[in-house]
Amino acid sequence: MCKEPESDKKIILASLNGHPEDFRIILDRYGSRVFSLCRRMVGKMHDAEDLTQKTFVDAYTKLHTFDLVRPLWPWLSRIAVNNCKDFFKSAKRKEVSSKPYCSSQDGIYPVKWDNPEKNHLVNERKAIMERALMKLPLKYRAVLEMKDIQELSYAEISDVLELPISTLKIRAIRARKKLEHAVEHVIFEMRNRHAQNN
Amino acid sequence: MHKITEKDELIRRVLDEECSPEDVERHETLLADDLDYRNHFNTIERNKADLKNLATMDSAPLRADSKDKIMERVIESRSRNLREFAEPKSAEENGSGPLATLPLPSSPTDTKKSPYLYAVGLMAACGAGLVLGFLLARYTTETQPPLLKHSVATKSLNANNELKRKNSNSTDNEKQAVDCRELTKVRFVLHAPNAEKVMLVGDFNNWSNKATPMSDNEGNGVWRLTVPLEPGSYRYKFLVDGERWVNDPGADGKINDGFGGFNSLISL
Repeated sequence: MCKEPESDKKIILASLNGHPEDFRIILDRYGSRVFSLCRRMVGKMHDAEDLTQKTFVDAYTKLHTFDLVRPLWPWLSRIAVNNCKDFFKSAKRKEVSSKPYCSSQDGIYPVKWDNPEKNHLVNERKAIMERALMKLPLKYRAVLEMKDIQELSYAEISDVLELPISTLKIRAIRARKKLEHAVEHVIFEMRNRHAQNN
Repeated sequence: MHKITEKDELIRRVLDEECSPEDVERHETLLADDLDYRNHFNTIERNKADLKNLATMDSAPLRADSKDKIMERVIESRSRNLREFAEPKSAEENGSGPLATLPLPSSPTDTKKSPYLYAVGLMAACGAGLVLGFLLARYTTETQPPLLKHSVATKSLNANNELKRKNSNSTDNEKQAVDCRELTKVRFVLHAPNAEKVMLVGDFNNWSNKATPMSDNEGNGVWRLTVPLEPGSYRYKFLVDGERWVNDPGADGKINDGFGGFNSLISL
């Protein structure tokens, strides 16, 4: 018999009512999504892991403030984005945008330009987008992450980044233009590498 | 920095679904007549769609050991919360109940840091007991030995020591207790016949007034809720219809809430 999965709401209530171990289910459901978000924002796997940990611990300690009527993911993603923002505020942190993370050490999906299979093409396109995204400065990457990937409204992004909506709209235009160039650049790099290998 | 043109702004409005009927008309005209615009729009639109796909793909699975670390920190943070909330904050806030005769530590470590405080408290309690004993000895008969008031003071002291001992033990063994899941099911009951909703609010849910609703399943105005709790002391109250705070008449005790009232207290 297939058991219906517990709703987020039930698990949250159980976690609040003396069953913190139930929070593991939330972690299993959203852990990879939060981790992927953090990795896109900060680039390094190690930093992304730390930020993912912080996001879930923060989420747990603020769980009583979560409005159970709303879906969990937008709330979690906001905590993650805010943590990423704080990460970059730290004086010691410098922009890592110029360093692509799709390397053997940090990348999950190494890019294979010559693979003909469709699913690999999807992964390939995804890898291109991720690499291109990482080439952008954080202020543009953050807007794209929230607007085009997480699909938050400008009002919500304004709340997180503490910027006027008009500024964010201009930033979104610039970010999309920069992404366009970055994608072209990544494809150019990959073609060159492919040509050299052959 | 590239200047943003009217066409850039139009593309943004189209992609963000903010365009007016005039925008749609202009957009369609440009798509038909302006090759640069069409190419630029198509590229940006495709990139946007590809970015959206990134959200639904867990491109980087979170490692199991990383999840374990998170859960360790979650359990730890919960234990810390319980320790902080399970103990009254200061002598002033304790009010005048039997448990408030001596100041209690605000955290387990304070017990070690402030032995002076407890020595003073101990001496004061004993002194008060002796004075009262002396006075009672003068004004009572031999059949009523002057130990009544003194015994009350001693009881208070024992109660404090007992609570301190429990707190100390719970600190030392907190993790073990959590791991072993020594949970006690506690049923909270409130008779509120005219209420539309009743919330249980307390240390165990970080005083959330939304998280723990009680239910009146029989429709007779008796609101019930069973909550599994770890060993410790918890302050709580009932919130009736979102506006009226009510204490539990069947509570183990009550404790000053710092706002001129009291919270109900339960000790497990």
